[in-house]
Amino acid sequence: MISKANKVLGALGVAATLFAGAASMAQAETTVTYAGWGGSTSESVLKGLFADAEKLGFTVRDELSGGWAGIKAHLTSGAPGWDIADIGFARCEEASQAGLLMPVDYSIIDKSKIPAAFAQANYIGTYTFSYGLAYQKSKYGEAPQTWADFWDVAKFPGRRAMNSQGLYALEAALMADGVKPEDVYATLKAPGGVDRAFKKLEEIKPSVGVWWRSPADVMQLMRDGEVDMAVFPNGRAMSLAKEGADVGFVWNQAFLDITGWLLPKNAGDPAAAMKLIDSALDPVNQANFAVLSGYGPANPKAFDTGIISPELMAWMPTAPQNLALQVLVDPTWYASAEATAAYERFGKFIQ
Amino acid sequence: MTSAAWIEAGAIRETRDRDVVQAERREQLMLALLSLPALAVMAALLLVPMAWLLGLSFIGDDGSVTLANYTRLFADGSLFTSMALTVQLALGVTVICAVLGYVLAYAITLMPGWAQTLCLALVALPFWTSALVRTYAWLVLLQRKGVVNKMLVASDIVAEPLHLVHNLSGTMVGMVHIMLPFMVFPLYAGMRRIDGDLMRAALALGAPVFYAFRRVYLPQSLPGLVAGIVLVFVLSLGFYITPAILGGGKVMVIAMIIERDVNLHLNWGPASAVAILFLVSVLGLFAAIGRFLSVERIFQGRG
Repeated sequence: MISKANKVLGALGVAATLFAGAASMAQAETTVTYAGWGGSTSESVLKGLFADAEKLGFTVRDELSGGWAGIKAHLTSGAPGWDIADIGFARCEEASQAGLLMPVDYSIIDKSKIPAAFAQANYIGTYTFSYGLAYQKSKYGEAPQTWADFWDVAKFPGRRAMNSQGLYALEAALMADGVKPEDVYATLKAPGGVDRAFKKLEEIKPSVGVWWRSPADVMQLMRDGEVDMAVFPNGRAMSLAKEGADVGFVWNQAFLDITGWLLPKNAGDPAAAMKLIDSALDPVNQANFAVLSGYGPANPKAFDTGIISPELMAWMPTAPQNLALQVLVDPTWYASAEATAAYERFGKFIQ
Repeated sequence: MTSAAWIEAGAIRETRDRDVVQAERREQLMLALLSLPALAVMAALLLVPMAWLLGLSFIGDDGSVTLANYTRLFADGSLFTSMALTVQLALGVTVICAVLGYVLAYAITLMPGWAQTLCLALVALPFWTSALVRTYAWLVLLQRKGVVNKMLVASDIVAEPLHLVHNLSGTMVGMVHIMLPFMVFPLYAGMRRIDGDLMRAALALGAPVFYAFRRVYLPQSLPGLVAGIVLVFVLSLGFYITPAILGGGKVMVIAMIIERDVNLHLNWGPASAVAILFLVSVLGLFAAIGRFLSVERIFQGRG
């Protein structure tokens, strides 16, 4: 009995020592919590963008953000625990206007690594994606090149697919109506701009076979040949091309959108988070992330590292040859009350 | 016996009666108490969330108590367009299910025992496949380059592929497939109880087949039919997955409006108001139906 009790006590002692050791180790390391999309995207962020975390002495804890609904709930409730959250620029802007974010510290983060539009006061662009015109190559002898072609059902007959929430639809409509790419958002924000876009959308509505709900949906629609032309994400176009699907993707007049990182006002260790973000913008980390995820790097120097192959580069929104052709999405439009009203109207428009 | 004895005896009897009544009441109370756990579960899982939903529908964007969520719905007509579409879709599905289900259930009752079991098992089989999988299967079958269109074009029945899906008709096909068992089972249960001799008697007495069916068989199968109709109609009102996938974004049923409102406003208030308004409308509809038909009688199968 005595020896048994001793053994138990001994085991407890060992456990206590281990526990104390673990506690002191945890104290030595800084934990930065990143709330992302989960799945392969979060995995690529951890392996690519956060590759230097260990070198910096950080442990990254990876959590599910729950998309904008989850992030908004987190920010407004003031719950602690997140240092960095990952969401599109439009939502970043919305959160910034609502005063829910901590300013980005550009004394720690080197602004020169990214284009000026990526370095906002309260959030920062870390990777990119694009929505452009995709079409069935076998259907059209001459490839469509512009949104005016997308609208031209006489020259390019066939079924269309557009996003059911109206993402990029108003912009495309204005360009089809003759607005210059650089004037699109100014026109949308000006009085009568939204009406003009809807008037143009009326023209294409009868040819829209499907108002798609998710990127996976529209990928399936093009793969199965259910539609002939679609407003389409570049990453999915690359996947289809790799599968050997006969689908073309047009960079001209495509919409370049930025995914941003934001720091909640109550972020636990902002200095550590800023250091980690700065390392995430390094060319090598950016390039490795692009290879892992298929998203475009925010730092254009990533293309000089030799890590991104010319084939992959052709599919990257921020590759110089593609960048010049596109329209940069304006987050202040999407964050405005006018935009909320316009997309509510869009919901009724397709109903 | 003296009158006093009479009164005494009467009093004793009265006491006994009172005792019996009291005992009965106590027993009923105990039985009612037995159902308390079930009632508690219902209250916790149904009534409390409902009350919560109702409360949420009066909370505005800024957290204040407001009627704004309701005035918004009445101000723009899109909710009512969607409600009308939802009811129209549910009615269409119910009618198609009723016709198909009636014929199928009747055919099954005519079969020998083993075939009945087999057919009922086949009707029930889709229950083991998720509605999502079945819906995607219809997408594969009905799309432009799907199985059905390929067959139609290959056999020269049509020159161009038909629009079979991403519209209202495609949605109906998917929903009918999912709802059919809910029609067949109550119908079959009702039809099996119908005495075959009654039809034979009607025919033997010289009634034409359709007359006999209309006057003898149909009235007796009605309770099962009404039960099936109510079941299919109510369940169809709440469909989400099938219209979302097979509707091509054009079949905006109430459940999708609720989802859209949650996504657009990121606030439970407006979406709760839609849910409450629709719930009240459906309850109103059933109150109206209940005036003509007793739901209890339908489910007891006594017509």
